[in-house]
Amino acid sequence: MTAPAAPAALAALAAVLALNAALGLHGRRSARTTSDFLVASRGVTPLRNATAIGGEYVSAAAYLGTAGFVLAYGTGTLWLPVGATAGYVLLLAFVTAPLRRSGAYTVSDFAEWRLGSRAVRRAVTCCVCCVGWFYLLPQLQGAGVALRVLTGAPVWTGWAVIVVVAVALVASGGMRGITAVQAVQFWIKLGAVAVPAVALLAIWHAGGDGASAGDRPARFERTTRLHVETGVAMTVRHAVTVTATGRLDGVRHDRAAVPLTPGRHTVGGGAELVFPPGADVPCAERLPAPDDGMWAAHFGRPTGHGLYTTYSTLLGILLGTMGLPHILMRFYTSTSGRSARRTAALVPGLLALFYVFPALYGTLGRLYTPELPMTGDIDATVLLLPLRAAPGLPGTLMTGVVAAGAFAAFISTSCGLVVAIAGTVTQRMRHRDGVAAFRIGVVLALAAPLAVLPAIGPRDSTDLVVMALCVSACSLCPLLLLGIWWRGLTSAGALAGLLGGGGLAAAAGVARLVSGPGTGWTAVLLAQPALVVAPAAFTVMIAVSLLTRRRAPRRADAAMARLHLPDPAPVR
Amino acid sequence: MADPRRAPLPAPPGDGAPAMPSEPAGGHSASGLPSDTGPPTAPGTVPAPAPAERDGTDAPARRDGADAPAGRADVRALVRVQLRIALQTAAIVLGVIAAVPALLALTPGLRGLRLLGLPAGWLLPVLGVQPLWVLAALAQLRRAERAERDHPAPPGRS
Repeated sequence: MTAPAAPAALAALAAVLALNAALGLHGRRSARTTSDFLVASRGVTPLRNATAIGGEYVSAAAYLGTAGFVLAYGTGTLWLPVGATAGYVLLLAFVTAPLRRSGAYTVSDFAEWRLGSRAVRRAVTCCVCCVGWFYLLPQLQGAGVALRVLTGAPVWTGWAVIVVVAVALVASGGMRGITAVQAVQFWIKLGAVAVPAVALLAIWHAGGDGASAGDRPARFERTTRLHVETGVAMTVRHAVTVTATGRLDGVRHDRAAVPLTPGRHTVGGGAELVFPPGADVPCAERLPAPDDGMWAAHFGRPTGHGLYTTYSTLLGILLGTMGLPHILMRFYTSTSGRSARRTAALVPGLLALFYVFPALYGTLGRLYTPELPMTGDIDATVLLLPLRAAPGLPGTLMTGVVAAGAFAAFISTSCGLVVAIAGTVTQRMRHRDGVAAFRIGVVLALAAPLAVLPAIGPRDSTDLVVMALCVSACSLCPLLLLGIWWRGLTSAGALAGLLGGGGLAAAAGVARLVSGPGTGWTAVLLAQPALVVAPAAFTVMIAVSLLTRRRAPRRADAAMARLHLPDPAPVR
Repeated sequence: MADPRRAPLPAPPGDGAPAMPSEPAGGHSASGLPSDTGPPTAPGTVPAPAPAERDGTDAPARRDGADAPAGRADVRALVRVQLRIALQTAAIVLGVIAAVPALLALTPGLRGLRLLGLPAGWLLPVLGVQPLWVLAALAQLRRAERAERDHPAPPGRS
């Protein structure tokens, strides 16, 4: 069924790999001498570094997940990227300039410098690993889904591609760390998502199909014939009568009109269902129920669960963005606190621009790919849309372009995360020699998510990224905020907050991965613990610090001076 | 005079920054050193505070103490100003985020509003609120930089 897309997708993958290899080789050659390092890093302007941060941040969730969520749950989910951009405003306001002035390369460095405690350093390293691992899951998952829907390959091929490419790039020293390459990646992703989006918008308008683009969960805009490839369990919300051929709820039908009552139904592989126009699209059982999230606010009065989920998700995204290890590392490339701050100020603009386009795909997906919530592959919206809207050569070309952007997104974010995890872990193994330790770190960074992936089954990438952000919001964010702005933070307080907050958030994430979506307050709390756990982590850090006031680091005042006094005048 | 003061703190940005940023991956094999050539220098300097403080407990401490009346009050004032600016930005951000459920409930009422065929539920977050963050970021930048400019340069740091 997806045969026409396969050559385009493979060509796109090859092009992205070749580009990365070429840039990596170029980077290696130009980075031979120390003076090149000096020139390169001194010459990094705020705009360039901001673009590089954008390049690193735009991941599978941003590229594929946003559109998928809009398709499945309506435009209410567009507030999630709004929260992410707002997180960068807070990052700018509270963290960037002081963090850069501290001279710390990773969050662990910052913690050890500020609090002078090895134990805190270890706790931070654990939190960084948790965040990184949770964040790597959607990258691998997204790559698997992308290759599967485009070429029909099994999901593990996508995982394998990412692992091989990440190991090759990181170990050969190409690509990552060279700001220019990440900056180029951002423009590639933006172009790859924007150009087809504009074309599709034009096609949609030319087609005269007016009213799609709804605020509510997906519904079929016209009579829709669906061919179900692999068997699926789905939830029907409103009674509907479909024309079924093949196995439905264990009974074989042949073009029979079958009334579907609200509730759970199973469709066998190879079955064909015809839905009347206006029918709600059934939702795959493994996706969160559409009326259980923030999107539910659309249906009359918001429920307690919905309101809690909305606030908790947004708070997790907002605070979590402040603690993303691979992004924080990037600011180290800025030459001063002032330049880091200017860099951070440009990031919201770049992200606001980028997010316009995935949002567009989600809305158009309502019309062209309405069945994806039923099959559960909502992450594939961006990839399948072009060929549905414009069959033939134009669609194939657009699919290739979009796929290239998606692969660039998986690869750059994965590499950034692998380097961040490996770099942080490596520092704990100082007795080993550097190269070997770093390689062990890389293996460690990739092994954990790979071990978990087959067990958790298919998930949508936004859900997974929100989990990662939640862990960061409950551990690294309080540490950074209090460490930078409150001289009274002690190592005991930081340790208690990190272990409590990070531990609880990570445990909730794991429980969620194991159990899948559920109902009731327990499930709601497990899914989005940020609203409860993040304030608790702050409270614990402050309370324990006050209790151990006597042990506040004596150089706290000197540290505060270093963090907040303007940079020394630049040497010219 | 700068040396004992600097000792307890990590290498100043100027020293470490140039070589490290490109190395994290840029130089794994190119220079024969992996990315952790960057970090280890940092830990290398991080433990420094302890010995430095232990050895010359008196020297740096007394020096800080000597500067204290002027220096610390000065830093505290700057931190307070910067924190106020940051908290005001945060208040704007949290205020808008807190209003999200209300905005969500509002959008179905704006069904008539369409631009290029896109509904209000799409326009409000993507074209309505995101630009607000861009402005908030630029305002925060300007105010923070002005606070630093207005801050009288302490005698020892220039």
